[in-house]
Amino acid sequence: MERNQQLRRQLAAMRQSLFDQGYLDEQFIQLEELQDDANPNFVEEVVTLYYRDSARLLSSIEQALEKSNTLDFNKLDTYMHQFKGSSSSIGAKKLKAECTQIREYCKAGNGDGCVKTFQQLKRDYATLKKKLESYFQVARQAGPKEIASRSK
Amino acid sequence: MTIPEQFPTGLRVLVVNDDTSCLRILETILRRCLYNVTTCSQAAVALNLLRKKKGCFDVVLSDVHMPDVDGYILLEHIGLEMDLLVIMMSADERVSAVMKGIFHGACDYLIKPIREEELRNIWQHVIRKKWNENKEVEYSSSFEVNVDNNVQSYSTMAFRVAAQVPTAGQVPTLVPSLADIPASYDANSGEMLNQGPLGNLGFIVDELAFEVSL
Repeated sequence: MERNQQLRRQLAAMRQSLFDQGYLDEQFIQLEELQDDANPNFVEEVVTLYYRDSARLLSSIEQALEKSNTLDFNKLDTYMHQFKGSSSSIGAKKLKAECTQIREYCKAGNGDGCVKTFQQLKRDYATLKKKLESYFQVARQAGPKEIASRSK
Repeated sequence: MTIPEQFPTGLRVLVVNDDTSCLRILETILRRCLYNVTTCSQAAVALNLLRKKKGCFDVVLSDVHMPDVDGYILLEHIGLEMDLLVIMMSADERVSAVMKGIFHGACDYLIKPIREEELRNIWQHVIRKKWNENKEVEYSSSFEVNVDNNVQSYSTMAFRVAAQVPTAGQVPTLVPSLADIPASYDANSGEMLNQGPLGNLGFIVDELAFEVSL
């Protein structure tokens, strides 16, 4: 019991810091609300799908950015639009903002801006992934009830 | 048109989105609304399915940007080939993008991230469409009757229902708004409290049957 309480407290703290540090927004809460007995691991499933799909997209973006002299801004913009859409679905606040920024740079034809912001985006993407993986690990240890009990 | 008792439960929705995490979220929300959900991650496959199973879906929910077939092209095909409502989804909230969707025939355009309330409400589009289709059956839009210099006008609603009266045994399925029925009708007893000048028309409101007679 005691250990469980500790885990739950740890879980709540991890969750709160993800919001406080601006990694997640309200959309993540929407996902948590969709989790129930019929879908006990919903949030983790969706996040896993997101990271699986977006990995491909990210490498396409990286390839597009490598041709720094002949950057296809339209193509890049399309990729970023897609990435923004899926990132916003899981509530990845920072990533969403970075996508918007890159799209602005695309409109302005600013290749450097695109590259720099994308480097940041990649870092935040990886950080979020690690944090969420740890979060889900603790959640599994704490037991199913934890994800269901959230403060609004 | 029959409105099933538990409507909109069981509304048949086809969701088309290449983003699998989005698809999973939409599917879950729609199932929560007790809709009957089919998912498809490729537009071409979706179109094939719609062609093979005509009449098996009430509404299509499609993403705008998909790698294999553009959402607008799917929308156009559906508009040309079948009488089906399409709701577009996109992260692009620009007015121009939304307009494009509407001009291409989308009955609604949802901006991502899509909230449960928005999906819960999609049945309204379906019912509105069916309602508009049935309106074409009405005899006239409105009429006035002069009884002892007392002109009364009746709304189209009551008359539209009358137009739906089929032969014995069948239940007409449009339920008129009680606000439109002449005030002399008692909704509880189903009785006409005073006779109206409409002539003998029988129609059923839910389980209540009554007549308006001259």
